[in-house]
Formats: sequence, structure tokens, C-alpha cells
Amino acid sequence: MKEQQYNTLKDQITPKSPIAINCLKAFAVGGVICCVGQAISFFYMMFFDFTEKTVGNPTVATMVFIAMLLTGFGQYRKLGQFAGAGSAVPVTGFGNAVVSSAIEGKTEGLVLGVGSNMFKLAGSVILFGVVSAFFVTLIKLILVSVGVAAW
Amino acid sequence: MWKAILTLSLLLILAGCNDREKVVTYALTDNEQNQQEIEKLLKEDDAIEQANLLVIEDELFVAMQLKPFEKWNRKKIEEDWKKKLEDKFSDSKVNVSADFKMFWESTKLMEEKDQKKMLKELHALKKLAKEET
Amino acid sequence: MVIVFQSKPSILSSGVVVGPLEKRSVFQTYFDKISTDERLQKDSNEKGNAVLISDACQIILNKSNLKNLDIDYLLGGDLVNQMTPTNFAARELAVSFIGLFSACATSVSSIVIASLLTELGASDFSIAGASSQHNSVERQFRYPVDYGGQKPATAQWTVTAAGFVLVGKHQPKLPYVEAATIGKVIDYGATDPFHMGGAMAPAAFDTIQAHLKKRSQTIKDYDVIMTGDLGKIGLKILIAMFAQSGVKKEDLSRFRDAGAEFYGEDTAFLAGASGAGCSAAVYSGYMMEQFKSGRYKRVLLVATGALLSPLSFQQGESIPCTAHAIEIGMG
Repeated sequence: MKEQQYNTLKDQITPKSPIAINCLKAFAVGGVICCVGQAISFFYMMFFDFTEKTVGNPTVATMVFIAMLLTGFGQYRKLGQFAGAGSAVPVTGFGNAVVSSAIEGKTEGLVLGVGSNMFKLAGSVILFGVVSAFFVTLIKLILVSVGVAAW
Repeated sequence: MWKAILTLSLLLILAGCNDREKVVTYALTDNEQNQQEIEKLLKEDDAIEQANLLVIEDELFVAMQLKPFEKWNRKKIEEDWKKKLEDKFSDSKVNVSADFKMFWESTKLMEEKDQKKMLKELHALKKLAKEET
Repeated sequence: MVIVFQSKPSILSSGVVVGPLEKRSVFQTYFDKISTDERLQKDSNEKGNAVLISDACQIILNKSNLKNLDIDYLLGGDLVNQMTPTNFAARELAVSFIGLFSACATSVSSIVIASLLTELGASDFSIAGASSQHNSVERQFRYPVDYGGQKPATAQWTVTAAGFVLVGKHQPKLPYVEAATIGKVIDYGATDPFHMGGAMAPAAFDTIQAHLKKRSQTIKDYDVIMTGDLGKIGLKILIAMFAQSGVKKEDLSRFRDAGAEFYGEDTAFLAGASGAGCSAAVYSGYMMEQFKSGRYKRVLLVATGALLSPLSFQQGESIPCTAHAIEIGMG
């Protein structure tokens, strides 16, 4: 059987991934995670001395902590299989990527295992995040100097 | 059947929220007229969902909750209101905030009976509003 | 490509050791030992994999009343880099060791070489097989086990299992190896590492056709043609390929796949099982039993393997695959 013929047959038989349902699931789960984050923000604002401006930091820290616990107990991957991008995109997904890589590296010790492997998946996110932040700020600096925008 | 009861009770609970006045004032001055004026201005502003107004001695503190879409212009609205109130009442120390924390705390503050304590807490609130991280 | 064994070396015994999750397999009664720990009480996944292999070999020695010094050759391989689990198990067994790599097709390629050595008269007893361990394979080829990435419906689950057989001179009333086909490397341009079945099906098709042609056989000559780990979808593709080449519908039911059946209908395992241990465990345990109970008389076991590495995939290469086949008869 020729390659072209085979690939057509393969595409016919391989089940298509249900994009619409996946989008809905991702939307729902992502929304729930954001709601939880908002609830945590309100909690910090009501019971501690955080304002809307300053509550971002403890909220993110708490969300990552929760993601860490869920990853360690093996629950986050079940959520990920269900939600896809809904659990991978929020900061909890980032926490999950870092923690799961760290857990995997445990057998080679702290320095070469955990230390080197921890940012295996998240490294690109950090790198390209910082680089794009740099360029965006540069653009804003130029716009402010020209007088079009304000800080 | 079960689901219908759940939805209905949820709706009833939600209806129970948000049943307070748009502007709640706590004032310790004799100047009633000024107070009414500010209240009216706040009530008319469409961007504001709820507001708390505190007038104690020479301190004028407005804590407001903006409508969701208006939150984009938060800084501008705060500055505009500050300027407006300062022009009107040049002898008072004016503080305007659209922060949720300020609103929440000022609501609690208005229950306070002791005036001295109230002033102290108000100063603390003002300091909190200036925090950056 | 096709080898015919005149002396018909026999499969004298087998040993299958699996991990805790494999208890959910439909073949669980055919496994000799089900471990309660994924790492077999060792402190790393790769070390646990080595124990899987040495335990399986020890079971064979116990069953056939042999000592490790009676064994002429140990042939085996796994999916971890440099096959270290098999190397370390070979150290434990202290036997002449031939390490082989055909990815998930190692289960059959090792039996072929063992049969050749037996046919040559160079070996009286050889142990051949393969193994895999889920965590170590996921770490090497895909993502960390706890990572919340979403796997598509075509993805397969690598089993934690070791399946080994004892190959020796022909003995009556035991299954024997009559012929074998060493597969070519077939690459139809598949690039999705989560759809191995689709990548490997052409290789299985090519090997089966070559075997049938050289042996002047048709599918009807076999009770069953069982592939290693094409998975539910890969098996469908293979059957469609044979249907297109003119095989009648009633003959198509002779095709089975170890990976597709391994976990039954459990949807948690998506398209089925895979890994060198999958075909090894099912062939060594379940299949050999079917011969002994008289259910099957002639079977073609076709183990399939995907010859990629995580690096080759990142470098933009497609996935080349191979399939090795052995014809097992009963007599």
C-alpha cells in the first residue's frame, strides 16, 4: 500500500478529537479555577491587610500552593486529562509543570535531579515571558517618550 | 425536580444580595447641605455601583465600588473625583479610593461608636491605600 | 527476511511479572506475579524495572528446575536508555548476555535470536523476552507522570511488565517456533508520538504479508494473528488495510492485538496498552497457556515497535517502525 493511500486510510479511521466539547470543558474548568482565585483574593482582603493592588501576590502564591498539593497527590493530572488547557493555562498549570518535573527528578538527588530537571517544562515559559516583557516595556518606553502614552 | 428546587433557591439567595443604599454616609459635621450635595453627585454618577462617604472633622473619605467595565478607568475616575471634591471643599483633607478593601473597611468603620478610634483607623486606612506591594 | 526453523525449538517455560496497575488487566490470571509496588520496593523506577526482569527469569528457573548456570544465553531488552534495567538484571543472573533493541518488538526479536542459537546447536537453554516500566518510559519519551497534560484518544498506556520465555530443543506437547520473519524498517511519515498505532500498522502489514508469501500461507492457516501493541485504533487500521487488500470479512476476525485487549474496555487507558512488556507479557503468559490448553494450534505473533527517540522527534523526524513475527505451532 502506498504512503498517500495509507495516510488517507489512517485519517479516516483515527477518531477526531471533539474540539467543541474540549473547549467547553476547558472554559468551565478554567473559569472555576479563576473563581477560586477570586474567592481567595476576597478572603485575603477581608481578613488581612491587603488592598486590591497588593492582594495579587498572596493569591498567586496560594493558588500555586494548592496546585502543588494536587500535583503531589496525583489529582492534578486527572483534572488535566479532563480540562486540557483549562487547567494548563492558569498559573496553577505552571505550578503543576514545575512540581511534577521536580518530583520526577527526585531519584537523581537534589542538585542534579530536582535542581536541573525542575524547569524542564516551565523553562520556556519563564524565558519567553521575560523576553516578551522586555520588548513590550521597550515599546511602551518609546511610546511614552514620544508622548503618545502615559505610564 | 431536585434541580428545579436548587435553581430556585439559588436565585432567591442571589436576589437577597445587593439590597443596600447606593450611597451610605457617616457624617460628624453640622454642614448638612454639603453632605447632601456630595451624596447627590455620587448617586448620579453612572460608573459607581456603591459608595461609602465618611465625613469626620476635617477628613473627607470616599470609598466606592465601580461597575465592572468601568474598572478599566479606575485611576482616572479616582483622580477626577479627588479633584472635584478638593475644588468644592478646599479646607478638607480629601481621599478617594475605588479599592474593594477600602470599601469593605469603611463599611465596618461606620459601625464604630468611638470617634477617636474611628479617626485612628481612618488614618491607618489612608496609609494602606498608598501601599504598592 | 523469513527464517524457517528445521529443528523446531520449543518454548519450554515462561515467567511474567507485572506491576500493581496491571491487576486491572483482563489477562491478570495468566501473570505469574503481580507486584504491589510500581517500583518493586526499589528507590528508583529504573531499578524497579531491573527487578521485574530478574524476578521473571527466576520464575522460569524455578518452574523448569534449572539453575542460572544451566542457561546458555540471556537475550532481552527494554525501552530505557542503554537498556540499563536489562543490563543490571543480567548482572544478577550472571549468564552470557545479548542485549537487543527493537523498541516494543524486542519481545519477539529476542525469541528469534534464541531460536537461531538453539537451531545452531549453540544453546540448550536460552531465556528471551522484554520488559518495560511505565514511569521510566514516560519520563524518557513523554512528560512527567504527574503533569496535567491532556492525552488524545489515540494515546496508549505503557505497561509495567516483564515477559520472558525459556527456549530450548524441541520437546513434544509444547509450543514450538516453526518460522520467523525479521521486519524491515517502514516509515509512512507519521509524526504524532501520541498515535503509535497509526505509525506501526504499516510495519505489521508488511511483515505479515512477507511471512505469508514466503511460507505460501494465507490468513486462514492461523487460528490467530496477534500483534503486539497497535492499540484499539491501530488494530482497526491494520484490519482495514487487509480488507482493502482483499481479505474476506470472516477471516479478519482472526486479527487480535495484545495492547488493544490488555486493559479491556477501561477508558482510563485510552487506546490500550503499549510497551515492550505488553507484547512480552501477553505472548509469554496468556498465549503459551492457550497452546497448552489446546485452544490454538498455529499462531502468528507479530510484535511491533516504534524506533524513535524523544530527540529525533524534536528534530522534526517522522517515526520509523518495524515488526518482527514468529510462527508458533503446537505438536
